[in-house]
Amino acid sequence: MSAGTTTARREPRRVPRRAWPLLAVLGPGLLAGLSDDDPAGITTYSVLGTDYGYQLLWVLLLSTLALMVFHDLGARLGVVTGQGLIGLVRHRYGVGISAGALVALVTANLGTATAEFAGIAAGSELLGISRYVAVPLSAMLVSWLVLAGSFHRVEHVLMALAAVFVAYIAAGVLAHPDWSAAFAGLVTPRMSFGHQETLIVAATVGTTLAPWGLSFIQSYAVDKKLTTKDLGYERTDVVVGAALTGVIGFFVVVACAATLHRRGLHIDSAADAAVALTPIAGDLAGTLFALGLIGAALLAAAVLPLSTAYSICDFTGSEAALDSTFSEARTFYLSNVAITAVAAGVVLIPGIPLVTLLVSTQTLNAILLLPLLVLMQRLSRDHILLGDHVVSRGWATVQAILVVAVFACVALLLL
Amino acid sequence: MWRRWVLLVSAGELAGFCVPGVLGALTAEMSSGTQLPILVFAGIIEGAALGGAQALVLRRVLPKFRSTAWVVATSVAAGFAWLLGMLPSATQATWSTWPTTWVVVAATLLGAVLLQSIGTAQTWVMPAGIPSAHMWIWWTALGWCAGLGAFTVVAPPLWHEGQSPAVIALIGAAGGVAMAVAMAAVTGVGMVRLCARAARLHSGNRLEGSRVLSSIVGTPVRSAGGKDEGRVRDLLIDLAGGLDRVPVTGVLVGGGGRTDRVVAWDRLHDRGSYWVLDPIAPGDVVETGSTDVLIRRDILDSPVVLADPPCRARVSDVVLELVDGRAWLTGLDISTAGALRRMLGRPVVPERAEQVSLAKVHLVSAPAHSAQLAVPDAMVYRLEAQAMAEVLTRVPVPHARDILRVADPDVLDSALPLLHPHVLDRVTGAGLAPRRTRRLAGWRMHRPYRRGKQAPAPGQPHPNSSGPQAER
Repeated sequence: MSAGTTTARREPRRVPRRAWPLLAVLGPGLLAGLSDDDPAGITTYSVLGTDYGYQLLWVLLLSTLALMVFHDLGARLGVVTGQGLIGLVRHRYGVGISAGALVALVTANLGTATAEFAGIAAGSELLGISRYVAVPLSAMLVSWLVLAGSFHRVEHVLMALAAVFVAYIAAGVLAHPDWSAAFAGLVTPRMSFGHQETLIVAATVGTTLAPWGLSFIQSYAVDKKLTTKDLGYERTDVVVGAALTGVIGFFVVVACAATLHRRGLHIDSAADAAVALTPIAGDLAGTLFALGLIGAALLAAAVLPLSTAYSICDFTGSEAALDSTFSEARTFYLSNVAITAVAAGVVLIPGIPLVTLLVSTQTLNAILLLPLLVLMQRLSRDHILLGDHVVSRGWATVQAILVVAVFACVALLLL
Repeated sequence: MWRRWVLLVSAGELAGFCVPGVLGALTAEMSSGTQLPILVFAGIIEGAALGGAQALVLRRVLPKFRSTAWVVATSVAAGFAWLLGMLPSATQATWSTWPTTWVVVAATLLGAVLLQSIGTAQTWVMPAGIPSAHMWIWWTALGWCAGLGAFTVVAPPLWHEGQSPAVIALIGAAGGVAMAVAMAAVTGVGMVRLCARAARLHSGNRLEGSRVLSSIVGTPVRSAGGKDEGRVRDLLIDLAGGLDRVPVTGVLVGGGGRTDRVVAWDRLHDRGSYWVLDPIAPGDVVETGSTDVLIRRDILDSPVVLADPPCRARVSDVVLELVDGRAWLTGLDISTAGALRRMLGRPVVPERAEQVSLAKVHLVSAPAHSAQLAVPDAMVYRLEAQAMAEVLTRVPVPHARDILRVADPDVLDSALPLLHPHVLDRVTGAGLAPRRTRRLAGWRMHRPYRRGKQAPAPGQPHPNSSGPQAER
């Protein structure tokens, strides 16, 4: 069969692509972005809105812009080089640096996956379901999705899960926020540099731009076999995904600012926010918040082990594909299931200090973010790897400024 | 050596850490100012224990190693590190009024100096002649990052108000064990690498027999007059010389602020611990052609695709054969164990059966891919249809399109129908999206049909998945 024959045979299917260019590219950027709105992210946004009202919304806007820039860079690196982030680091900087990055990434991902299952536990208990039922069931569900071996089904389920984020938008609208104050907070940078304030600013940046999201989007772009011709479409996908992430974060902040902040309440978690919202904004808003929490956690709990397994296989060079059998991709499946099992298991240990564990994970994520961003920034100007697709000097400067800003945030977080 | 290092250094650090641990507990009620000298003293003792344990290992592997100097340097540096570590709490009244930016800058500087203090002191007293000895500073910094991180993860979460002193001490001990083991494990990797390199130089870099690339890269290069010319940074091979034994034609020399330059292989001569470079006339440099490939840049650690068995892999090391002043690339080590051996500084030549010939892989890095297509005996020109389909499925799409342009049309005619429809669409450039959204094509390898299985008729589901045809 020649290429020409193929073209002729498939000609009728050109129409949908032309008609729905945006739908055609949705995928890596959308899932990577929305997975960043995990329970840790929702918690951070809830605390931001509850403690500071609309005042710090501009931080969310800047974080979203940083997310767009670096997810776009990740997708570009994946598309042009055909390698995932850890693999590319190994190729360019050697086995030592990449092994260090991999160990840190796996550790941080394990902690983050634990946070996701903790989110499932908290959300399910809000709905009256014991964590000892919800967490194992969720772990089995996400493992089954992977082991079932049909990615289009997995992706459908993940996209459906992502749809629960609409719950946050609904919760935000139901809270009747002051839209003019919200808009003013979004575009007017104001900050008093108090300790708690700097902490929440740093946490917002750290939770929006997560290391695993960077490695995930690059691996995903590789496995999707995108080419450089798709870069324009892929950028649209990334921007849409990051923008949706920001929009969802915005509505979480707005929901809490319009209700909990106005009443001078304080919360420590997203579950607290759901409980506190109920008497103020109504049962529906509280339930939607809890459902959103579970959906966000399930989405991230499904994506995180996959992302980790891809990074491990990227480092070793082993086969990693969801349509491979267990014997063909043993490392891939074992690491995936192991991460899921350990993370779910940790959440079920009675008396485990989950909050401390989650804070430690966030800190590790923040620390890991810096070298990864620096490496990505250097890779983006590597002519040998990217050829004509290196980023321009101006864009590289923007990236460098963002890296410095993130560095400052991480330093604040660690103090 | 690594295991011995981890065992002894963990024990030494744990024993040493007991001193500041106990003194810290006894002086917990005192003011920071009073605690400071006590804990600095405790840090000196901890450093002595740590340095002593390290010296027990190093005196057996490093010639001219001075144990006493090592212990004293470690001890003083540890006291200094404790001083820096205690400064924030002792001077809180001062810096708490500073602007946040100043605090961030000061904390960053303080942390950087603290982490590098022990490594710097120990590097000063290391025996002369160890190549890249300064790397020990970074390894110790990394080791202490890992150690302190491990302590933070283990002890503070378990400490709570109202616990008995015994429980507090037990938790502290557990944290201390985690810290000591993590620190020793990381610094052990660094020290093994340094010692391995030193041993290689001591025994001489003989340019004979089988060697792996990672044991050659980094070798110092000098002029005949003894002037430092840099280090071996890479080797140049010419694929046109045959893929089973690819001749090494040049060496990339540079580093240390010098401009990299490629010199002919026969311009270098072995002198044991370094290589001597013949005088090079201006303009006398090796011209690189379309079939030339830099091994370290384009092959080492980069992905490769094999046709038999069909899989992707990553190059862990490159095997070279050196005979009578000439060199050839004879095989690739694609095992994960090879990467681990390199990481531990112990690269070894794998058994012949474990090596893969360059003729049996397709290199994925862009320069190597192009160079391979430019030689007539490259793997992709010798594949039958099934293997071609497997390779086309695994290489990046632009590479697959390059292969389609140059491969045997008869083979392609048989291979293309074996491809999964999604892959076929992408590699032939017909690039048509599935009916719903193109995102459905993601995250799958879309394996080719196996020979013997009939390719489905149009509209029938693909046997390798429940996906694309059914989706339509």
